[in-house]
Amino acid sequence: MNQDKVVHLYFYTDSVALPRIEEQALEQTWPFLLKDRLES
Amino acid sequence: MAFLAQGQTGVLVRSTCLPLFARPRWRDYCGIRSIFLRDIGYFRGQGGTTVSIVVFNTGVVDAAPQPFTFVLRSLAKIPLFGPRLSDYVQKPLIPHRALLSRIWSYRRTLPSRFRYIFNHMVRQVKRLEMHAISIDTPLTPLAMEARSPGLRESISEYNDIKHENSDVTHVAMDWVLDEHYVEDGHHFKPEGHRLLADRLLLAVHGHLKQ
Repeated sequence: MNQDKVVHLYFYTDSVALPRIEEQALEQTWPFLLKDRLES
Repeated sequence: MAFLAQGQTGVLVRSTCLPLFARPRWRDYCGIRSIFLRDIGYFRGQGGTTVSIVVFNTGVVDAAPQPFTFVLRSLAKIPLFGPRLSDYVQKPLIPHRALLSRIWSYRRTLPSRFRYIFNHMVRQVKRLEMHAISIDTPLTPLAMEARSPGLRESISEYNDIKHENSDVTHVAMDWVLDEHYVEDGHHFKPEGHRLLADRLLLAVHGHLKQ
């Protein structure tokens, strides 16, 4: 998807974007999930 | 600052409230506007095959009513004996937050100031011919009202302020249920993160088609 485009995403968030509990990895948060979905 | 560059998508995440980024420990909040304005000079604008999108997820810290005793937290800044003084004076008040809030509370960012800051950040994004997406602040669980009275009403008010700006794509958060939160009523469980990413994907695709 979007192989012909370079996408830059910038996130300005309160802390709610990032995991509170230790068991959650940063990659499980929505900014990184969005990136994965765009690249898939 | 966390920066990821894989494939054709770059992700820049800035947070103002987590110890992910180096900051003095007494600064529990630093203005997102100042960080944004400092960074935006390095942002890439539109051009050729490049699409730049800024996603804003702000407002909950600004909207949260805080009891007047919150100012006592600054006691901890006093060198040497400040933290211990805070333990004796401020921490015993924490269980009584709801009562103290009902006596008198204030919001960290006044609505008028929040409107100015939000609109200013969006203007800077548009000036660089980038796209702006704003995520509504989801309403916290009703149970949170017992601890922080007026929080839901305040969040709605600040969401309305953000919606006054038509230069940004707004992502609704009315789908959020209580079970999407961890116990603190603010942070998402993995399912909440996944659902938000799905909705953001739709918003991003909307910009990519333009």
